[in-house]
Amino acid sequence: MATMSKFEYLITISPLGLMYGSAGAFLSPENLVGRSGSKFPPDAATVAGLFFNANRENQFIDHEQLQQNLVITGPFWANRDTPKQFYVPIPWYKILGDDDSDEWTLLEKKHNGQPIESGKSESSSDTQWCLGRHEWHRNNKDLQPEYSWQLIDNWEFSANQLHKNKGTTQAIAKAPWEFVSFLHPKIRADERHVVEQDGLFLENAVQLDRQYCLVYLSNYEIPDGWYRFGGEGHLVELETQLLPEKHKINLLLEQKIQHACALITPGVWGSNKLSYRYPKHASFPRKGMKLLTDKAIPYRYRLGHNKKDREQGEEKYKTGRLSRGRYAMPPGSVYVFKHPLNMNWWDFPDEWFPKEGFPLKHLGCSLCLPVKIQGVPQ
Amino acid sequence: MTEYTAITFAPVQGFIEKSRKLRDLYGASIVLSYLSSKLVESALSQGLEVISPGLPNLQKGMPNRILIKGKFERNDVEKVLLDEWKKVLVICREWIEENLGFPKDNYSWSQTEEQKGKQKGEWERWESYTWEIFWGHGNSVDRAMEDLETRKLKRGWTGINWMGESSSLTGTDAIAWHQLGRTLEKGEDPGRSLTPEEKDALELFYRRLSWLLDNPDYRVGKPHLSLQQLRDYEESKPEEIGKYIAPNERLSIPELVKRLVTYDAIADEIDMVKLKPTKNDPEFKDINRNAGYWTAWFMGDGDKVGDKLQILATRNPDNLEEGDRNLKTFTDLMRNWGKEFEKQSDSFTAGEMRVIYAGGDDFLGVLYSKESKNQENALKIKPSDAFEWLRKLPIYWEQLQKDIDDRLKLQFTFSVGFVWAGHQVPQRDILQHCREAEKRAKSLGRDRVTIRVVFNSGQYVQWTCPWDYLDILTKYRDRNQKTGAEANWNHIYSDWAQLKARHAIRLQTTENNPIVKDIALSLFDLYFDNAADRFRKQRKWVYLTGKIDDETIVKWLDDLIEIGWQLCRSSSI
Repeated sequence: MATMSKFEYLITISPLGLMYGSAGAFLSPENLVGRSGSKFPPDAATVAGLFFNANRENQFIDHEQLQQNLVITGPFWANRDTPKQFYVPIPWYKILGDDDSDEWTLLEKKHNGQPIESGKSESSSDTQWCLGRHEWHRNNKDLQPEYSWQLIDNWEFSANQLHKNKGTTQAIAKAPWEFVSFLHPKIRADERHVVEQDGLFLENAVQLDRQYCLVYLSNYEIPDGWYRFGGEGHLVELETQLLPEKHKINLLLEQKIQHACALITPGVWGSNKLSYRYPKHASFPRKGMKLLTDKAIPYRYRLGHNKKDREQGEEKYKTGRLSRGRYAMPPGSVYVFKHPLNMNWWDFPDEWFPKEGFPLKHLGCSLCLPVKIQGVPQ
Repeated sequence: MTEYTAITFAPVQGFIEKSRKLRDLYGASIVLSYLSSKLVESALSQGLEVISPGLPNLQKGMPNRILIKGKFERNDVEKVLLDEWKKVLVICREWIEENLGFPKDNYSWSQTEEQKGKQKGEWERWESYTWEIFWGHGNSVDRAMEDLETRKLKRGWTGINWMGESSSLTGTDAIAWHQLGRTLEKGEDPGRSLTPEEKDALELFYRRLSWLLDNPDYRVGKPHLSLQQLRDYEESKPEEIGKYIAPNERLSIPELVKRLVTYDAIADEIDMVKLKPTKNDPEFKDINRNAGYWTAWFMGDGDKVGDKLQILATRNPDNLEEGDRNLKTFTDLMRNWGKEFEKQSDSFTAGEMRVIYAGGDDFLGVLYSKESKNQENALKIKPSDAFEWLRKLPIYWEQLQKDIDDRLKLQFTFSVGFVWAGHQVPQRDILQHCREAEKRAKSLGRDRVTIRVVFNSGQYVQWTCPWDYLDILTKYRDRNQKTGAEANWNHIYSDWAQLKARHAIRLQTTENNPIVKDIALSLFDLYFDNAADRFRKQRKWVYLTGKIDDETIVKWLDDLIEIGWQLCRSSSI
């Protein structure tokens, strides 16, 4: 881990038909179209699971080595023709509506009801910047975010710039997938015959527009091919390609985070018992921190199969085991630190992340990039 | 210096939405009102003045946005809320432990005497981490409310992790049963699946609970049945079980609590509003959701209530007393309205209606068919009945609007999401549909209703319309000049579909073919007595659809026809 500081491969996943869109134990014959359990796109953990399985069946990397060193992150998505220009979640300080945009900025706290613009008051200058005196401010509080993805290439664009480039370069986008219900026969394992009990069920499937693919980043290569991915036996075509060292994401990840960063994958922190909004480790500078975030999102995946499981028979081998259920900070969440962090995500110590055999950092959790927010010194 | 405190807590929508039965909705709403009312009570006992909500002594339907004159310390707020919630949890847990017939030492789900102050059990974790508390303070109402909003941006949740299978209702959080949280033996894997014996014990837990609650007045204290007896009982009387908890449900701790507080003996012990205020009230029946029975759900909310409060608070900067008085008048009017609206159970004559909560400016209710022993004779509500009722819904707030305008010079409107759902659509999904529909009504301009028809497949169609133009659907005139219930909606529906199929009406722009509204409008004029032409002349399109471009208009018409066909066509066709 210490030597790793780049993502070297870009994995694209293109569905062959539909994909699976539910999470958890939702679907039953009585409740057919569990919509509230919708979960898409699959987390990087799912790709990691696929990776381990593939490697177990057809060992292309020493398994121990893979388990120790694999770092994989996502989900992102892109146009199939230009996978390197992928979309990542928009940091929440940028609000992109259909017709307008707005930004959260940090202003000095109100005096007589009027916010003081940063830098304009006597006491405030960059050297004296003190987070405690500042608060979040927005001009157009009515504007609702309609877009949640932006091109990685335009990471530094302001909300206004992104909005301007909405039409020309598709700088921002809405998710290109749709949930569709799909009547699904459950086929017996040994015959082309529908199973007798509950043989049909209506699946909450996901249709990803043919033009697009899902994107994950990793430091190892997976052999190209067709794989089962994301549940219910749906097939996808997986391709790995080299991610240039100078790719935007690597450049961004190289930069040290100073005062502010935003998550682009679910932020998982906490102990075995509890999930938190930030690491509770002593070295994490939580004092005086400001956040822009929302409700927790559930975070859970099926673990790869350990040796014992495999020996216990076919059935268990197939389904894997559910990990600990956790809650995560939603992607897009913004952290602002009182003192410069002077670290990038690669530098984050493993102790900040929950450990599930290995630190969840290896599953690309809490991947964050530096952001520039008005009112925060650079 | 005058000080104000604003308080709220979360989750509210999420707490209510995690529901499978109507009982969950009531339970959740009762718990929320209870906690709010305890906060208000505590503020009053400190000699503070409660500006909002109005009617602070009425627990039922108490909203959870609280505004207080004076400083209600954040720590005190937190303490009151957590203590009261703890009381609810303890009473529920102890009721189970005392009545389910498992030996006390079989329970490992809460902390032991020795663990107190050191280590939490599962129940204690829920005591601490169910709620996020938001608090704001300032020297004006306005500032206190803004302070709260600012602090809310960082949220305040702590999530409770879980292992193994999760609740069958939400798919998250651990299943509550007596062995939850058991200390692991050495070398035991916390993530392993349950052994067959453990599975039986878990099933027994839920079957006993389910059996007891189906008739607690007679069964509590009686000898306990074995797993086999309970299974046999289900087999012999499948219709009579599962009033509170179906034997196959697996609930998390807070979900269990929501069910339990609807049992009057427990509500009494907590001093909570009861689902059935008196013993002789009609039995609480779940709604009929058998095959073919559709239900209508409405979720509504006053438009820009926060802004209204701010306007009232800041209107007279030199006279704070006046501002406080106006705020009080406003919230009193709102809560009185909620109280009256909650009683409107007989306003739907074609079937049953229940208001699940009416907290002042927000409400949730359902129109449904009564459950009947004899399925064949059971009355089915028709979509047109539901639509007729919806059209008249604004009558209920006309007087309120007038009062608010007369006394406070404020325009007050409601946005509503109305969902007509097939019987297989899970209830928790219906609530999400309601919320999304309501949100859409708001985002398209407020003072509107979004009607969403959700099919069993999970697919839906929707249409948003300002209240005062909702009756456009009743203006439909078919080729035989028939209107109203007589009209054959097939005529426009098939014409429209044909034209769409031939790309004469298109809903999607392709490279060379932009969306053009002319043909769509002509067809609409034909069937709706030149309504499109009138809208154009009166410059109503922007008001109706939000925008004036061709695409928006054609899509609005498409939605209108779809919804009209679903809700207004007579079922005989």
